[in-house]
Amino acid sequence: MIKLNNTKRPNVGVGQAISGQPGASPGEKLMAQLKRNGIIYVFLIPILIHFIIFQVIPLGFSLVLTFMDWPVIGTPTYIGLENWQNFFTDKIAWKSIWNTVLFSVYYIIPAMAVGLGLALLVNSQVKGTNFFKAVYFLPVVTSFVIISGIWAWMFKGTDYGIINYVLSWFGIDTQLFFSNSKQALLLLAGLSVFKVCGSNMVYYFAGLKSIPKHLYEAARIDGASSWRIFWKVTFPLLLPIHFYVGIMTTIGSFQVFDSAFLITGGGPNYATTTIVYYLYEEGFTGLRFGYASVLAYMLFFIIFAISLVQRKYLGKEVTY
Amino acid sequence: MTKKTSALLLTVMFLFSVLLAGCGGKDSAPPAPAPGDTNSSNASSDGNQSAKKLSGNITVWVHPYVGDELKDEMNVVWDQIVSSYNSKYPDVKVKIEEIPWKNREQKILTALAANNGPDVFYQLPDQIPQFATKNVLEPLDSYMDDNNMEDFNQGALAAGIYENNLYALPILQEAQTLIYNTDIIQAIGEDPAKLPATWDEFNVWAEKAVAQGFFARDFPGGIACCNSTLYPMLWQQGGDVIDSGGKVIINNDKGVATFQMIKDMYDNGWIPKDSISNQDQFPEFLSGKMLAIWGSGYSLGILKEEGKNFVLGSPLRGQEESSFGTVGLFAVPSNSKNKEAAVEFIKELTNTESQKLFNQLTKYIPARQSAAGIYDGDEEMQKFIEVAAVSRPGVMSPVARTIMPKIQAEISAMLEGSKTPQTAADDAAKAIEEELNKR
Amino acid sequence: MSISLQKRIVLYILLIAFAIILFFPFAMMILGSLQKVERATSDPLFWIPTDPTLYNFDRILGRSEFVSWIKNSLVLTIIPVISQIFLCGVLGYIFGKKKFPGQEIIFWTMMAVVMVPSQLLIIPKYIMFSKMGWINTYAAIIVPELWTIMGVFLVRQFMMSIPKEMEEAAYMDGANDFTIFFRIMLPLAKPAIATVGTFGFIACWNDLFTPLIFMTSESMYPITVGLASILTKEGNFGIEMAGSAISFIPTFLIFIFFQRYFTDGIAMSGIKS
Repeated sequence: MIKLNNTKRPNVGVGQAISGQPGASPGEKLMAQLKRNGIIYVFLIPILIHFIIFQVIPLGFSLVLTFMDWPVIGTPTYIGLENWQNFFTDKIAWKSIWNTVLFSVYYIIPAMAVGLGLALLVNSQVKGTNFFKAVYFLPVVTSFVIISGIWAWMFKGTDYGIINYVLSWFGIDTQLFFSNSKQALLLLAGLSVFKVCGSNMVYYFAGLKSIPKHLYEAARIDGASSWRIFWKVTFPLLLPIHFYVGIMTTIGSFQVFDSAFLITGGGPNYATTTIVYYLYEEGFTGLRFGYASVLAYMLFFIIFAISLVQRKYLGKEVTY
Repeated sequence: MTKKTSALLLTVMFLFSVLLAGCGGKDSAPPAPAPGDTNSSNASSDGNQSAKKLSGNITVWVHPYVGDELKDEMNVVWDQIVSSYNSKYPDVKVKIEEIPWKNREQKILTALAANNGPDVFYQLPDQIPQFATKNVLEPLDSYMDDNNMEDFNQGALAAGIYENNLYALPILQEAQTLIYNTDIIQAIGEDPAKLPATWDEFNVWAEKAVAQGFFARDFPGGIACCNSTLYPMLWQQGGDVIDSGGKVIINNDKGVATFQMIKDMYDNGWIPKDSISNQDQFPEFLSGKMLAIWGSGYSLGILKEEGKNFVLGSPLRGQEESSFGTVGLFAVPSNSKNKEAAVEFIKELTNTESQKLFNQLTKYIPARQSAAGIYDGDEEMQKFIEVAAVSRPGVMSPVARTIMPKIQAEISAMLEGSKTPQTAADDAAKAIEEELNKR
Repeated sequence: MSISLQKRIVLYILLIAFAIILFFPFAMMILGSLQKVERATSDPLFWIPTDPTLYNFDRILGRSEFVSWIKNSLVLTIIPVISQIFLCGVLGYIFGKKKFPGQEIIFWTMMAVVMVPSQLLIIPKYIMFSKMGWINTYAAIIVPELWTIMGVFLVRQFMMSIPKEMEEAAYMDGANDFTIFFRIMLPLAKPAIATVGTFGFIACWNDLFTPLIFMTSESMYPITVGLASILTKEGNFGIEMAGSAISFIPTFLIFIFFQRYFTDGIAMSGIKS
């Protein structure tokens, strides 16, 4: 998809400009190039250097660590593929990957749907939407520690927990919630949706605002219902936002850590041991940083593969 | 991506990382035990103290041991300890830095890994074997000739010893025992003056309390596992996790009996239904729903402040009298650049005078007998000191920390009903053995 | 256009229902901060103060370091946010509107790298920063946050939806791409850039983890670490709630401030025709 040796378009190459590609009148071309693309050289090069220093080097370091036994203080010893091999026989690691995938199923689509729903609500032409928008944003700004504390307290698995109390009005038995290995992960996903839906709302709202009004008017003149307009006009035109929110939510979903760390400690019976939680434990409790790095790379491969798929289906350019 | 570019990218990444790892490796190589070090410490120990000339800087990482309302008093204590140290070693500059409890392990490990850590830091017993086997800690034995070691509570001192080497000196001890709600004792028609001493006696009370709709006691089986939950019960039944020979015995008959006991408590409603994931059932006790809570001096402070009626009991006896009680110790990392001054500072921190100052303010139990006098006449603290004498600081093994989530998982599977106590104990034993075999 | 009364009622019911659910933790935080409770109890309504007091706020605001915590937080937040607004704008333009070889691969490599959990990269970063002498300095927190790929991604998505004709017309008039960026693209992408600013502010202001690791002296702590440093091992309910309430205020104000840019929208309906 990327042609590095692109000789057909002499005007666009960073590489060519630097190496001074022979052309009809090099000076002129260079000037034209600078005029049109100068901004690329001025900004992209420093950014790339910054990126290499603060991202690529630390990442490369942890790649090297995957082949090492590193006792924190002292020299790492090379142990070949042992860490990678261990991964394939580590039942908890596979369980944690499965939990993470399950979490994504519970989380990605609902978080996007609720975000879009809230955006549509605050985009409706009624009074006071600015106020509601601010209220919906509150959980985004409130600290995660507080929100998860409150969530754990609301979903207390005893008959005096507030949600259980409410459920009892409807004749529903006391639920164990976080003490039930079938419900715990679902509740953590619920917590994340709760926390993040306000920010997805902001993205969608910005997207809704940028859809040209004349398109709606055209549809309305054709006599389409609001429902139909939503699915035929609004939803497809939000594609760039779907793409962005989808990728962001996916990354967030696969990196879920805080709630498992704060509320469940990975339990009950590994039901909420997500991959980042597990790698944190392996690294900072087990002091096996080499193995923790393997887990991080596994996670990286998974997210990367999913993002490629998303990119294929959602990453198209949209023209109005 | 095209193959070419991705290959190129990978190569570049690899080169950079090798570069970084290279310098990291060189720097973080454990400083070879320089002969000069041991010589000088030997010399110092048989000479008189003032002959020792120490200089340089040391950084000490401590934590908020008291609430912020006592912060100024705490700083006074640190200042006193430092100035007493400086009167012996005027050329050493001591920097005390207070590190939040939050993610403390991570902060310490990260800094140590970068060779930029403190020279003295706070350690908990169940980490010492792990850190010691990874050569993170400086062995202290060769520095101790002039230190009064007999005076330490031997249980507390043992927390700093792993495989016959001393790695840390204790400053505080904590003991845990059962605290009862006096109102509930009266409600079930028992006498607060005659508290249960054994499990059999407790069970009678528990049944009465449960019959009246109270919980018998707490069992926060979530992240808090296992030091304050399973372990004391296991020890009281005469069991253990790993025996002195290194054999895993959590699934022997005593272990299985303890698992069964917990299962029965759960099934019979003695402990709350959310005990599987709960991290803290103090709220239940505070609001009068629970007969007894497993607590420490800290819990006592809150109960007093809230004006609750409570009475301090004993940890229950099954086969043995035992309890859990953590110990707070100070250690020197093996990559400290000023080890000798650091070790001398630990000695200062844990001497009688400092222990008195520190524990008087923080309300912990001093780890030296000669400092225990600060609680003369304080009945409650005397009780805790008594319990501390039979307390153990956890499982002393390099895997102490890593096996806890594994044991916790088995207990939760058992409480949920997907495993019997026998299989849960067996699976826990298997998981522990796996941990022991890991690199 | 007008909305029927029925529809309006349904909308309000939905708006209010969501508002109640999402408002709840906030209410609990504010009410909880107003009472002197060290430990939560199992009473479902324990957090509603019977005897409201500003005790917790006194404890926090009375700390001698409080002013320096706030100052540090401001430094550690405002510099990265300003830089992010600018750099994410420029880079969003470069990746969204420009064409150059390797564009896709550079962009997606950057995106891919974000996917590695940051928990793990903290050790190599610490090693690097300690060699650079950055430990316990602002640089360790600020410099890595000068731009974020997520912000670039957002602006890029917006830039991609701006019609090409606008740019072409400007080139015809002889403008260079700096002018085009500042005169045309930047104003058009305002909602996206305001979003980057808002989320950048929230992320930097609320970051506990990074400064917790990289800052070692109390005078260098931002407010998040400062509040954590007040707590004993067992925590303190009232102080935690009050602390959260205090650190909540600036982020919320920023949201309100940037909000008007979101509502502006891109005046695109006029552009196309």
